[in-house]
Amino acid sequence: MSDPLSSLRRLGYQPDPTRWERLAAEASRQRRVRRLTLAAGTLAAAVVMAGLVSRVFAPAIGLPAQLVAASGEVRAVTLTRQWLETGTSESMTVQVADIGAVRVEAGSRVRLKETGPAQHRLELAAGTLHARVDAPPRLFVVDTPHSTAVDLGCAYTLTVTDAGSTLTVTSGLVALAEAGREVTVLAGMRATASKGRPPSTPVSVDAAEAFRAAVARVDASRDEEALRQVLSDATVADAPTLWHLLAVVEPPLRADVGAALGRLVAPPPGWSAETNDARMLGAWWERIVEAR
Amino acid sequence: MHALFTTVWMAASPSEVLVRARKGDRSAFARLFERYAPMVHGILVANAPSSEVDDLMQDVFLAALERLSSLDTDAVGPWLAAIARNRVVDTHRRRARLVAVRDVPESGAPDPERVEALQVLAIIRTMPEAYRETLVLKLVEGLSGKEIAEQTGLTPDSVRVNLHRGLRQLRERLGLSPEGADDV
Repeated sequence: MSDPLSSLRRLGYQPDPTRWERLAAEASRQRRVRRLTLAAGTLAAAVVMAGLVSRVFAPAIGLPAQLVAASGEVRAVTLTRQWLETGTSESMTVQVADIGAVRVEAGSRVRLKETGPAQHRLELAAGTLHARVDAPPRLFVVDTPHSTAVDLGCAYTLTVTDAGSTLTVTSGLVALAEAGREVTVLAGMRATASKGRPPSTPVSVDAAEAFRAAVARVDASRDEEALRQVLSDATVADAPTLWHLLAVVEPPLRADVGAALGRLVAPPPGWSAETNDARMLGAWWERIVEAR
Repeated sequence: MHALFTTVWMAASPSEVLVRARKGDRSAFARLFERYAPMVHGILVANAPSSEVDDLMQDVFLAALERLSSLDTDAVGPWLAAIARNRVVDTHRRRARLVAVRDVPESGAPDPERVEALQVLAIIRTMPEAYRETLVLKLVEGLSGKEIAEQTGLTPDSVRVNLHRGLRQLRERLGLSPEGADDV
C-alpha cells in the first residue's frame, strides 16, 4: 500500500501565471471604474454649471452635503473626489445615499473616493467625523492615512491626527484594518492605528488608564507582566479585548487568556488553547457579542 | 511567456523585486506573489473549506496589492500569512451559520487518490494549529522546513519541532509506522 501522505501533494498550489494577470486586470478594472466615475462627475458638474440641463436630468454627482457656519448659515455643497476642508468654525453634514449620514467637524479634511450600490468610500486626512450608517456590512468605508474603517452596521467617531487614527464606536460594530490585522470594535470600545502598523487591540472607552496602558504594552511587546495585569483586571465589558488577545499571544499564554475569557463568557464546547480553531473563535465571538 | 513575465527579473534580488512591486511594477508583484502563493494557499487549505480557497486567494492578494505600496516592512511572508489568517477568521466570524470546515463531496466519478488526500487533510485539520499549518505547508505545498520558517516568520527550531511532532501524531492517527516522522 502506498503512503497516503504522498497523495496530499495533489491538493497543493498549482502555479498559474495567469492568476496574476487576472488579479492585475481586476485591480485595473477597479481603478478604471473609479476614474470613470470621477470623469463622469467632472463632466456632469460642467454640464450643470453651464446650465444646459435641468437639475432633474443631471446624473448624481458625488454626495450632497451642507456646510453649517457658526452663525447658523447653511450652504449646500457636493462632496466629490476633490479634497474639502471645513473651516475652523463650521461643520459639514454629508448624506450618504440612503444608508446614513456623516457629520464632519470643524478643521477637517475629507473627500469622496467612491460612491455606488456596491460601496460608499470616504477618505479622512485630518480632523474628526461622526458616521451613522444603517446598511449591510462593508457598504460604507472610511480610509485614513493610518487605517481603513469598515462599517459593519453602526455609529462611530473617527479622528485623524498626525500621530494616528482613533476609532470610537457608539453603536453596532466597525472593523479597523491595517498592515494585515483587522480588529472588530464593538459599541463602547475604542481602537487606534498608525501608518504601517496593525491596529491596537480594542479597549472599552470606560477602561481604567492602567488597563488601557497594559493592553498597549501587550500589543507592542507581548509583555507578559502586562498581560497578567490585563487578565486579572478584566471584567465582562473587556471580553472583546481578551478575545482579540487570543489571536495575538502564543499557546502557553493563550491558555491563560482563554481561561480568563472563559470566566467572563463561556467558551464554545471543544475550544482549546492549543488548537485555537478559527471556527471556535468565531463561535466564541458570537457568544461575546450576545453577552453584551 | 505571459505578458506579466516579459520583464526580465532573473538578476533582481528579492528586496529589489519588493521595491519595484511597491512602485506598481506588475511583473514584480507577480514574481513576488508567486513566490509566496504556495504558503498562502497552504494556510488557507489548512483552515478553510477547499471550495473557498480560490476565492480567498483572490481576496488575500487583492488586499495585498492595494496595500503593498504602504507596507512598512520587508517581511512580506509573515504579512501575507497574517492577511490570510485574518481572512479565514473573518469568513468564519461573519458567516450567518457556522459550519465545520469540511469539503463538499465533488460531483462526477471520484478520484480515489484525491479522495484519500482529502481524508488525510480532514485529519490534519483536526490537529493543533501549530502542527496543522506546518504539516500542510510541508505535505501539501511541498515547502521545506527552511522555506516555511523564512516565509511565515516562525523560527527554524519551531518549524522543525512542529513538523516532527505533528508528523508523528499524524502517522499514529493514520495507523502508519512512525519512522517517516524523522524525515523532516
